[in-house]
Amino acid sequence: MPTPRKKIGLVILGGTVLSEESSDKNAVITKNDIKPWLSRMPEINIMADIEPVFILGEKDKEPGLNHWIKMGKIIADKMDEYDGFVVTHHVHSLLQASCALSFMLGNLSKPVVFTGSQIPPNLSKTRTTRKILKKYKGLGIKANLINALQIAIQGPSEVSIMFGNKLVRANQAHVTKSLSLNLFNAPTRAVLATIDFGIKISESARQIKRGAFKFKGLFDDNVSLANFYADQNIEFLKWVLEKKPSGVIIQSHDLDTTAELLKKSLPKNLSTPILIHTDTPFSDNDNSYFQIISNMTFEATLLKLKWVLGQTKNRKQIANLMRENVALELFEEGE
Amino acid sequence: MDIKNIILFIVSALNFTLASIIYLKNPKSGINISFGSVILCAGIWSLGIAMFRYTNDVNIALWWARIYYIAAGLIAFFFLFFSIIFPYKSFIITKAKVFAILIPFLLVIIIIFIPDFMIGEITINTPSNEVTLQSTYVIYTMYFLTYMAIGFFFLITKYASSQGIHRIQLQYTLKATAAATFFGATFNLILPMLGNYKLIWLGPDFTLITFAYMSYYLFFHKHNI
Repeated sequence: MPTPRKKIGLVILGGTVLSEESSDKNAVITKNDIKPWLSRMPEINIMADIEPVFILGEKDKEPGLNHWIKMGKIIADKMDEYDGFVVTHHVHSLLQASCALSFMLGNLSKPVVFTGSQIPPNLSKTRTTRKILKKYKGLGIKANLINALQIAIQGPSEVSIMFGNKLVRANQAHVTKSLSLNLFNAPTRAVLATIDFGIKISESARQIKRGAFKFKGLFDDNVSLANFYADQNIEFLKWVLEKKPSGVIIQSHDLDTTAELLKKSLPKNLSTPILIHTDTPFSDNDNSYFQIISNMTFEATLLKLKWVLGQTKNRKQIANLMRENVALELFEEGE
Repeated sequence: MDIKNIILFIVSALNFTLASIIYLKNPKSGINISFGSVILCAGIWSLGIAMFRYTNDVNIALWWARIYYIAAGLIAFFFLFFSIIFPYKSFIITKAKVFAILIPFLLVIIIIFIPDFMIGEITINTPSNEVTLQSTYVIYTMYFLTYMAIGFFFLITKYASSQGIHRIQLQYTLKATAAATFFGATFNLILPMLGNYKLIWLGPDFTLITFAYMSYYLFFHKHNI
């Protein structure tokens, strides 16, 4: 008896440019462009039955939290119908979108793979871009999409990102500093698959069964960000707090100075949860003013706080949830 | 033992090593299994020719000749399979298509084993033994060349439309296999058909090109741009 073909949901939120040639004509601008766009990649229909869902086109504004919640609801509703999902997304906010989805989709039992094109839709062929495109052939979506589909058919049941020759856990990923096919990277244990010959799924791509799938799509978007350098004064933070955000994340480049400043200057009965995000692994989290986050990426911290604030407003529960490894977002010790 | 046989044994050992590495890198992947099988059969082919040249017994020489012709036939079979699925499928693989690829190969095995049908008289010479090939050898030649040509057609077609990481993968694979196939077919398929059996020791040596390219790709290339 022949093996039934897999059914993959393809959710489109931009990031669909196929190649640098007429980049605005090789992408999905409106819903009607999906069919001709897919027909330019016949390999995809050989792999699986693809059901596209259009949310945003290439020239629409950058997606935000509302679009991601809509994406999450669509995926949640179709979870039983499909064997996996691929999401194409504008690359600038792809990391945030995938982090948000990882928290929304609890006990995920099917792969959800994010990917996209590094070519913008209105590519101007200046001398610089021509040099870049000549050197870095293949920044379009085609190869990424084919690999993402292969992962969606038989890959780990997580929210992940596929670019170049790496599949990484979305909520532990970061953007690489220089232009590369591998736009995203992650700690070793968060690299879920690599491609040299075929696709090799890593040992760390654990298939943990935790219970029934749950969709938790509530977020509180009212989170403020502050970037603290060594000589930062507290007035800026006080101004931020006057706006009454539901939560504040401070990105600190000198944890000790920031911590001292906050302890001295903030009222003891402050109700707004404050997180300090730092890359320093040596941090003392033992205080009641703020919570230090050193074991998550900044994007994961931001989206997780927004998600946690959507689940509860109780400070203790917020702190506990931020410490809990909700969606494998916490780095392992030593990473 | 003459130097040509020593070279063939070394080539054989290197191919067995590479086949093991490719297979063990990802034992669940059809791509690794099929390409690993290509390299394994190249090792058996090289070993078979070395043993055929080395032996003084006609019956043993006959068996080794059959082994290396089957091994070479399997190279074409697995290469075609590999080209269909690497780095992604060229078409949906059905049981009917698998049989369509398998049946010519099974026919080739039959003609290899029928006494005097393809492999005729074995001449024991020093330093190199020779086979007198019958006219039905053209069937074997057509099988091999057709399968390899179709395989390269699939790979080149995919390369022409590929981007990014797929383009890099296909580039290395084509470089690794094209030269080895051309020289292997020339010295071990075409020249024997034209009556020259003296240079069959050369064909397997060109699989070192495959070994070199694939080793570089697997161990030193950063798989990035």
